[in-house]
Amino acid sequence: MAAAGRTVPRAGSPVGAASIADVLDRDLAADVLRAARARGGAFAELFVEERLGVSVHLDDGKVEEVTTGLDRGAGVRVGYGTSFGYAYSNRLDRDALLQAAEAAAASVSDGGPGAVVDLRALEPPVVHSALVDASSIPTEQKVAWVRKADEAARALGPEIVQVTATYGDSVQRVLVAASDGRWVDELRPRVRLSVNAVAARDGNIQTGFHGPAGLAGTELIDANPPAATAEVAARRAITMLDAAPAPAGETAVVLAPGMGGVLFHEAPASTAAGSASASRPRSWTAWTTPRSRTRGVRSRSTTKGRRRSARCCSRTGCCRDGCTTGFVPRRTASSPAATAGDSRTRTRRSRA
Amino acid sequence: MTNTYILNGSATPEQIVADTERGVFVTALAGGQTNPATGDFVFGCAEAYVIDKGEVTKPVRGANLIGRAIEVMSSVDAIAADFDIWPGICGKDGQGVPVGSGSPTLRIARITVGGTGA
Repeated sequence: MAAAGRTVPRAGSPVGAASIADVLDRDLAADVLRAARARGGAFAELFVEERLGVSVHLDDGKVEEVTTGLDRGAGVRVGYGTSFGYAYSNRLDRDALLQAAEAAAASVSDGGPGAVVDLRALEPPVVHSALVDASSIPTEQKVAWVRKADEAARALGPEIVQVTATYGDSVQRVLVAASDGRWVDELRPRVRLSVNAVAARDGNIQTGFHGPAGLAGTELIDANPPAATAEVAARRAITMLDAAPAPAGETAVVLAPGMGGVLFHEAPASTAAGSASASRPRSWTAWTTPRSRTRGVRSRSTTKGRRRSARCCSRTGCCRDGCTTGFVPRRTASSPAATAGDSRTRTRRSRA
Repeated sequence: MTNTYILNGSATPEQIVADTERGVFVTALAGGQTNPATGDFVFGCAEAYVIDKGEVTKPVRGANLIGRAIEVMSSVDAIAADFDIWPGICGKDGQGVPVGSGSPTLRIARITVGGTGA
């Protein structure tokens, strides 16, 4: 992912344009990709993003922060073998992007120049949209939401001694152009309101958290009112005040909806992402016991309105009927159709 | 790491709990740590209850789920059809992306629960 710097956009660049593609034309993107492949390599990619965001943070009954920000920048990477050359810039002008491409290509010595296929737009499997654009909502309303959350949490009982509530929205415009011809232009609206409540009684202190989020507009707040979100968090904290210490030992555990996904994400999937590559890891292939009924899916797409669903990627099955059916893929010289990064991949990074 | 989902099975949440003689019902996980090289993990439970004779009973605090990823996922022996997604942030090297982790209600037949109670 590009490390975009917080910056003032260059003169003439439309901030908040309907599409980041309005800021960067295809001819320039193709030139950048050609420069990135000047020393060879299996492929090159250009990632451009602009992200406008607002956040409101309330702590202990006071609005501590109201921030707005604009992140804008681009990253260029060149893949060769299992390594990447990577460089980024927070300027989107021609000189800066070509400089980034040259820096990304500097560590590559893989023969002559590589080809760049004509860039063409991909049809998205899913399009995220905001029914109510968060930027159309006055900041005063967003402040009112976190205040409402604070009041609702405290109203649940005198045990609630501290509440923090955070509202955030953003619109991220992303463009990915790749040497294989992919041109993906995506808009990602995001909204989240989260509440953390602290309950105390007789020296016993417990916390509760709840924070619905989605790729959506403020209709997400309509569906998950601040008071309701706060009550879930506060009730969780108060409930835990009456909890007994958990018994230790081996036992059966039932995970509520969503929780198994967290466990899968953090444990096997992260393990697979950290080690899966052209050589399949022993630990991952060992997950073939017929006892498991798990069907795991790594999905960058296909779930409208849900987090991290992205237009440019696809859904990958990893496990079915207790057997491994796929691997967390990444793009390497030997897997041109795959995407995403890998923690074992060596990356040479520089800033243009 | 991007979105990861465990897809629906065919059981109902009520069936899964009723078929559990004794165990822990976790309704919210807190933070955790994973060693990506070995798959060893520890997760705290933000909200959890004892299951006794097929019924959800009293709340418990301080519960941690401890295990090795592959072994634990291989121990899943019941999956319901009530898929939902939990929003979060996943990051490395100081960068984070919003992600969704999804699954239906499911049961791990045996896992180590760390706690201070008897």
